[in-house]
Amino acid sequence: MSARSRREGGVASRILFWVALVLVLAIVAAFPVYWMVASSVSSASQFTYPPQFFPHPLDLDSYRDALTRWPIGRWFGNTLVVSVGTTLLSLVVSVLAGLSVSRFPSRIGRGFSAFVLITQMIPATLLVVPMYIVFGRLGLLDQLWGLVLADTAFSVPLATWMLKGFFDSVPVDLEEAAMVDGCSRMRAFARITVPLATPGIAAVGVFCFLISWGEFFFARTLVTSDEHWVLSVGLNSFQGEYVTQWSSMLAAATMFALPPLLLFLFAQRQMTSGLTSGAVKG
Amino acid sequence: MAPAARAAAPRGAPRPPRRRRSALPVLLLLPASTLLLAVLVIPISVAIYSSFFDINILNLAQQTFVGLDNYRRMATSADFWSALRVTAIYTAVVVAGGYLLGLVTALLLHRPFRGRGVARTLAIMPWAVPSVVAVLVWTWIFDTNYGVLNYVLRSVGAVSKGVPWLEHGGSALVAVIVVSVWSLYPVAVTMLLAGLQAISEDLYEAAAVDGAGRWQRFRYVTWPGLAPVNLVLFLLLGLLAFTRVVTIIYVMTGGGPGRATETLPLQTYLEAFKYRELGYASAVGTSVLVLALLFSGLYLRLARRILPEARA
Repeated sequence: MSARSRREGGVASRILFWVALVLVLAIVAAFPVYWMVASSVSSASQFTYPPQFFPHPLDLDSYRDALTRWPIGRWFGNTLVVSVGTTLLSLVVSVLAGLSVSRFPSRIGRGFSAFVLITQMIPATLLVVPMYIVFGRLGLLDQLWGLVLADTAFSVPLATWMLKGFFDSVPVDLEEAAMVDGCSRMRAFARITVPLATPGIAAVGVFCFLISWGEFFFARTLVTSDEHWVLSVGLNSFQGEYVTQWSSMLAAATMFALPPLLLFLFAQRQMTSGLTSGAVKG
Repeated sequence: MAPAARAAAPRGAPRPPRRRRSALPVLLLLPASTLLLAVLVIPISVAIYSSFFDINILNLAQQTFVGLDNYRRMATSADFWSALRVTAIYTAVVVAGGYLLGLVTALLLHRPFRGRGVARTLAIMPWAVPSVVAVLVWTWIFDTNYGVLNYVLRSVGAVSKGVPWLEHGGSALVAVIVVSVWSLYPVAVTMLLAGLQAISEDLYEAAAVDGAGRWQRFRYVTWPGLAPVNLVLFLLLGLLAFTRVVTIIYVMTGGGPGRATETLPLQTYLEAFKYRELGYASAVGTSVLVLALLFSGLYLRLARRILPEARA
């Protein structure tokens, strides 16, 4: 197709293409992230006007300020516990479920897509109300691992659906061959199917991690005491301070956003193939 | 089973059991089912059940059965209808905006060029940014006096003074929509890119041979080719906008100013935790769920009639 576009329209069309591309990508996608980081390392007082687009000189004071002003380290630790816990639990549960739905499609598989769809229709805000009651009765309120359970339940349907797509692309013949050699089905899964789907599993893991890292409503409602706050709740509490401390808040925001962004950068290719394999192939 | 029959079956297709019916499929689904039952199904049922009661969050033991009162109250409440209207506008614009932006980006990224990998990563990046962070940054961008948006608007002469975005209903809704579109459009980009790649090059060649120009190629090859993806994508975007991005609104405006940005899912939360009416909140939330089910059902039925060969 590029050969054809080179023939048509020539130079003007290429330039237009690049201009449009840069506009869309730079301004729309990257600018807010860039602006967040730039504003946090800018040595100019945030009340300078006009704003400095390219901060100079760089200054890390707002990071120092953020770390002393708010218990970011503690929030970070809590968030890490919840995200890692959710990812591991989700993967274990979803891999098993995904194997079942992929390899034994008859009974449950057909209704499964509909089920996943329905779970996507449930507003978290509706779920949060009874969860608050139920978790309260079970003594799970204000426990980080109660939050892990909630986040896991929320990501399992979609994770299972994605894993089904990955498992579907591993040929059944390989398992069959192993079973002919005397393996049990489960052993074949463990020795062959799962290892072959490792990139997909990793992608789903990253997906679960990202979702739980930034999750807000469950965290806000199910975890009540300050010391168990996760980053999303902590940063939300900045609301009252908008007037004075933008650079510090943005520094905290940058620190919050860094792990998922880095993870995303490394895992990006795998994740996008996972999200679409289910959608396009069905 | 004859070896020939086994070899001929496509991969992943259901195979007749070769020994007694194994318990394995059910066992494998057990952890997921238990978890979902305990954490999803039961709470949802409790929520729907609670909608027929009057419950104050501070005194959970005291639950008075009120039948359909909550729903009656909801149907006659101006706030409910206002929230419904806001939800409709918000969802429609976010889906349209997210889709269009996603389509443009996907079309631009579709052809190979140097640096495409980087460009693609940048384009999808907003999705990986936590909602609270997105709100924080965009609130800063929208800031009345020092925000970069007002600076640009003033520089080009579009406005004379900084627009107080979050202080007026209409502009606050615009702000919230912008942040939501920014967060969601990578989903559209991802799916549309995959969909574009699935369209065979031969079709484009054939169209070019027939003398079709760029726009015609889009209209007669690309657009129909994207139909299956669009089917799923619109529904997905709709559901995400309807139920999943509430965080953005809550953190950015809290539903204000004066309920101008209060969508139904948000109202559910506020009624429960701000106004302490769990029963009424459950009624509102249940209606959100019912609306979502209704629209999805209608959408799928309509879509299946237009596109009988595509499946959701």
